[in-house]
Amino acid sequence: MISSPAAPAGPEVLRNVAHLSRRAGFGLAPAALETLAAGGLAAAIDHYVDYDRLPDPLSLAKPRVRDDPSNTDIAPAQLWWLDRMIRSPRQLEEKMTLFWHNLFATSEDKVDRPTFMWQQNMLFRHRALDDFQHLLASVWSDHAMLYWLDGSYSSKDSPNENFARECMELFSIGVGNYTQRDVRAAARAFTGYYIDDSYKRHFDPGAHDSGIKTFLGQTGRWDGKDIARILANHPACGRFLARKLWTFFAYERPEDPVVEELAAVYRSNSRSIRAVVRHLFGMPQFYGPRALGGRVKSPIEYTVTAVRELESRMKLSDINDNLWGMGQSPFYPPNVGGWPSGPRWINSATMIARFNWVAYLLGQDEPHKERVDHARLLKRYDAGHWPGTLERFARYHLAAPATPGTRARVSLAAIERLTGGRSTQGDDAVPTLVSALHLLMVSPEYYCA
Amino acid sequence: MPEEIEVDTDRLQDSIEERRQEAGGHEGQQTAGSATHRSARPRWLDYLAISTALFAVIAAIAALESGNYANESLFQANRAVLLQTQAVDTWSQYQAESIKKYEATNLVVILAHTGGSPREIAAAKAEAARRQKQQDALRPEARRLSAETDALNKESEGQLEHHHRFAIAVTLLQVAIGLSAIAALLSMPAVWYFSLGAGAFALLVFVDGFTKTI
Repeated sequence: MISSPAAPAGPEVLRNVAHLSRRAGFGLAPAALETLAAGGLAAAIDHYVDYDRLPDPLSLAKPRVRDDPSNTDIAPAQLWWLDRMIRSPRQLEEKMTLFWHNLFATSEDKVDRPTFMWQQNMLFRHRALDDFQHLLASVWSDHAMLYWLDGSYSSKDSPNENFARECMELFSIGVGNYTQRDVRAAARAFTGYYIDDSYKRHFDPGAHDSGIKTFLGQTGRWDGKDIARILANHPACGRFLARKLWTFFAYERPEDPVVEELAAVYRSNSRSIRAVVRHLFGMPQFYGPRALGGRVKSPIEYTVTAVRELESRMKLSDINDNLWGMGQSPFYPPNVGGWPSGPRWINSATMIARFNWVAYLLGQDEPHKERVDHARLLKRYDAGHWPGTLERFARYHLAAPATPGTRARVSLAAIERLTGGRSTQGDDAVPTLVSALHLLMVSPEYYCA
Repeated sequence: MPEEIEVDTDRLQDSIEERRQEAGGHEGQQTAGSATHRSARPRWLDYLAISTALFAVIAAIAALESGNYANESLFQANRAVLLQTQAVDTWSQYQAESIKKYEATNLVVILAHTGGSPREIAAAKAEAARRQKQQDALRPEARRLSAETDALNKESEGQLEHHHRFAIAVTLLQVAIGLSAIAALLSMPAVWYFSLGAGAFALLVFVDGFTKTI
C-alpha cells in the first residue's frame, strides 16, 4: 500500500521512481506515483523489493481451471494472472513471476494441463526472490516442466537429456560452460520422476540412477537437487542470471562490469535473487541514459501498464484476447527459449494490434466508463493547450522525451485534422484529448519503458 | 447481353388486314371493283394502318438503340469494375506502404532509445525513406485509377439513361400499336386517337433518347 505523500518529489526523483515503477512493476497512475516518489528513491526500491511486507488482498486460490484430463481451457488462469499483475500491490512479485516464466519458458501448448501451468506459476511466485538453487531444484520436479521437457518417465535405462541440456544452456550457466558428458551425467541424475495416468507425480527410486556421476568436475552419487546445487554455485551461473535480470529490467547487451557487479552480489548473498534485484535497482546505470526508455515493453507489459496508468477497469478478457494479436499470450511462450525481446516486438501486425487495442481502451469509437473514465482523464491531462497536455502525459508515462517527429504527429493541428477540426474546448475537449492520448500511447516513446 | 426488346406486330397486321377485308369484301371482289370497295371502307382505317406501320418501324429502331445503349452501359460498367479493382489494389498497396513506413519510422526511434547500432538505425531510416518513395509513386497512380473509374461509372450511367428513354419509347409504341389493333377490331376511331397520342408521346421520348434534353 502506498501511503500519502509528505512533500512533492523533485523532477529527477519523480523521473527515477516512474522509471522504477515501470521496470519493477507495471507502472503507476500519476497520484500513486507522486506519493511513492515523495518518499524518495531508496524507499521506493524497498517498497518494490520487500513486497512481502505488503498485504495481498487478491486471492491466490487456484483459478477455475478444472482438473479433469480433458480440460484444456487455460483462460481462467490467464485472467487470474492478468488480474494480479494489474491489481496486486506486490508488483515485483508479479514481474518476477513473469521473468521466471520467460526464463523457464513452459508452454501450455504441450503441457495441455492448465492446473499444472498454474502450479508452476505459483512456484515462480513463491520462490520469486528466493535462493536460486532452491528454485532450480523445484523446477526439476515441477509437473509442467516434467511434461514440457520430457522428464516424466526418464529412467536410468533411458535417461532423457532434454531437461538436462536446457537446464544448463537456457536456465543456469549458458552455452560454453558444459560438455555433452555433463549433459549425460545430469540426465542420469534427473531420472526417477513420472506422472501416472491419473496425472499424479511419483518418484520411483528404482527408475532413478543413483550411480556415481561426474558433473562439471564434481563426482558423487548426484540426484537432481545436487545438480541444481552445483549449477547454482557455478561461477557462470551468477553472470548468466545477472545478464538475464539486467536485460529484463534495464536494457539489452549489458556492459561486462555491470554483469560482474551483479554476479558478485549473487555469489556473496548465497544466490539470493532478492539481493541481486535490490542491488540492480540501486545501480546508477539503472537510471542512466541507456536505461531510461531503453526497453521495448512486451505486450503484457504494454497492456497491463496502460491499464494501470489510466486506472482502467477494462474487462480482463479484453486484454487477454488481444495479447494473442500482439504476440504474447500468458502461458504460451513460443519455445523453450522464451519470448523475443526489444524491437522484435514491433512489426506491422503487432503495431496495428496495439493501435486498435488502445483505441478500444480509450473508448474512441464507443465511450465506456468502465474501460476508462474520460472525465478523470480530462482532469488529469487536459491543460487547456496542447504542449501542456503532452507535458503532463510525458511527466508520468514517458521514459524519454517525445521526439520532434512524435510531437508533430501528435500535435494539436494533427489531432484537429483527425477529429474533423475539433478544438480543445467545451464538448470537443474529450474527443480531442482521447485522440491525443491515443496517438501518444501508440508512439515509439510509449512503446519503450 | 440484355434481352432484346421485341415489337410483335405480325398479329396486329393480320387483324388489320382482316378488318380491311371484311370492310371491302374478298380479294377477287376487291380486284374487280377496288375503287368501289375502297370508298366503302372507312378512310381512317387506312391512316390507322399507316400510323401503325410507322409506329412499328420507330419501335424497331428504338428497341435496337435501347439494346445498344444497354450493352454499352454494361461494357463501361464492367470496365469501371475492373479499374476500381485496380484502384483498390493500388490504394491497399499505398496503405501497406504507409504502415511499413510508420513501422520503420517507429523503429528508428526505438533503436535510438534501446541502443541500436548506427548501422541498424541507418537501415531503418533508409527503409522508411524507401517506403515513402513507394507511397509517393503509388498515390498519383491510385488517384488516376480512381478518377478513371468515376468517369467510366458516369459514362455507364449516361448510357443507361439513353437506354431507359428508348425502352420507354418502345413501351409507349407497343401501347400505341395495341390501341390501334383494338381500334381496328372494334371499329372505334376514338381509341385510335388515343393510339396516336401515345405514339406522339413515344416519338418525343424517342427523340429525347438521342438528345437527352428532357
